[in-house]
Parts: sequence; C-alpha cells; structure tokens
Amino acid sequence: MAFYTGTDGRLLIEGESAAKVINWSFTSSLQVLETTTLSDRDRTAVPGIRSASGSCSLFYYDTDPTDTSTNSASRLLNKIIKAGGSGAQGAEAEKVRLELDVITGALDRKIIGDVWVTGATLTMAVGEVLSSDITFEFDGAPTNVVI
Amino acid sequence: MAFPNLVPSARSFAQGDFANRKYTAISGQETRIRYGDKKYGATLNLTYQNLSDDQANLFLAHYTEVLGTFKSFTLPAGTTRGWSSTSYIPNSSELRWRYEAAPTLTNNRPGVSSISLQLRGVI
Repeated sequence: MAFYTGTDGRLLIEGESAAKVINWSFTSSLQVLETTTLSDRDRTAVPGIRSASGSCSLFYYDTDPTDTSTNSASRLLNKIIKAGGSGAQGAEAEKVRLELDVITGALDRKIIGDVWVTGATLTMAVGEVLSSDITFEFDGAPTNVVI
Repeated sequence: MAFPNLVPSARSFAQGDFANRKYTAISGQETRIRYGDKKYGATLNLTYQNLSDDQANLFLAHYTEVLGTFKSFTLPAGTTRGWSSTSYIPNSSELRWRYEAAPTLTNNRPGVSSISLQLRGVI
C-alpha cells in the first residue's frame, strides 16, 4: 500500500521534465445526451462528448537566465502569448505535449496528451516569487493513460 | 410496417375544432351553424431525443412506407405513454393520422440522432 504526495509528482513539457512545478491537476468530463421520455421518472442518458482539461502552476525559474527555453513556465506561456508587432496579427497559438506523472517506483502512472494552453496568468507581487498559472484543454483523447 | 412504438421525449397536442360556420348580420348579431359532430384538424407534434440511428431509421422508413403525407395510419400506445388524458385523442376508428411534413432528423453524434414529427389528425 502506498500514498502519493507532491514529491511523487512530475510534469513533462514535450518530453522534458519541467522545473519548479508547484502543482498540476487533471479533469476528465463526459457530457451525456438525455434519453428521458415522457413516461419516465428517472433521468436516462447515453454517453456524448468526453473532454479532458487541466491546470498547472510553475515558478518562473530560469535554469540558464540567458536562455528562455530553459524556463518551463516560459515555454508554456509562449504557446499562447504571441506578439503581433506594429498592428499585425500575432502568430497562431501552438499545441504542446504534456505528460502528467506520478512516480511510483514500480509502475509509473501517467497521462500524456496534446493540449492547447487556454489560459495563462503570470503573477508578480511584493513578497512573492514570480509564478505562472496555466490552464489547458486536451486536443482529443489523451494519447497514453496509466492511472 | 406500423408506426414505431417508442415513447417520445416531448409531445404537443392540439384538439382541432368542430366544423362550423359563422354568419354575422348587419346588426352585428352572430349566428353559428355546426356541420359535424367530430373535431377535425387535430395536430400532434412528437420529438424523440437521442435515439439510436436504428430507431430513428424506423421513422424514416415508416414515412416512406405510408408514401409521405399521402396515407393515414394509426398510432401505437407508446406515443401517448405518460399522459393520463389520452381520451382527448379519439380511438383509431374515429381518428387516424398522417404526416404533415417530412420527419426532421438531427444527427447529434455518431450513432445518436433526434427526430421530430408533425402529424395531423384525419377523420
């Protein structure tokens, strides 16, 4: 028997372990299509569209301050934040492959999939470390789930 | 084939009216003459939500079998299930039904469809 805690958690961004992850969460939901008819007392349904989404928080931490690609938060922020420049449209948002891991030592639990970053918040405050909150939605089903 | 015996998820019914004619005198006095003892023009709209494609196909096949809006047919008990006042719909010896328009099929997702029907009573 084993419990798992934050020390067992890991987030991989495009196959590389992200640095200074504070937390991640994953949500799967299923929309149901109602099949209740006029003589029924209890609601009935058939499965409809399933979706998966999640969120994560990371400290804005540079492994190498001269190279923004070494900053995990920056890598996610740059998937959605695109500069336009002199009235031009910004570039399209980019999809990113995330892997949400629980390191168990025996059989690692993981959820892997291509996601769209749907929200990014960068928070700077007096007395706090600069951090970023990211929300994302999966594009289709996760490509690999062991949970 | 008979009309599919499925229970609708929504139903609306209007009874129709007795055939009558109104005569209005110059004075404004109104006289009505009734010509029949049965109501006509009843309408019944049925909606079936989230059926399997096979079930939805039964309605399309039935519409074709009765030659669209041409032939009349009777309705099975399933169409009025859940309504305790079905006596407002005369029995099949007095009232039959025909399609007022072609069934409207909506594909909701693979294998799941909804269908709505407009029926008119025929005496």
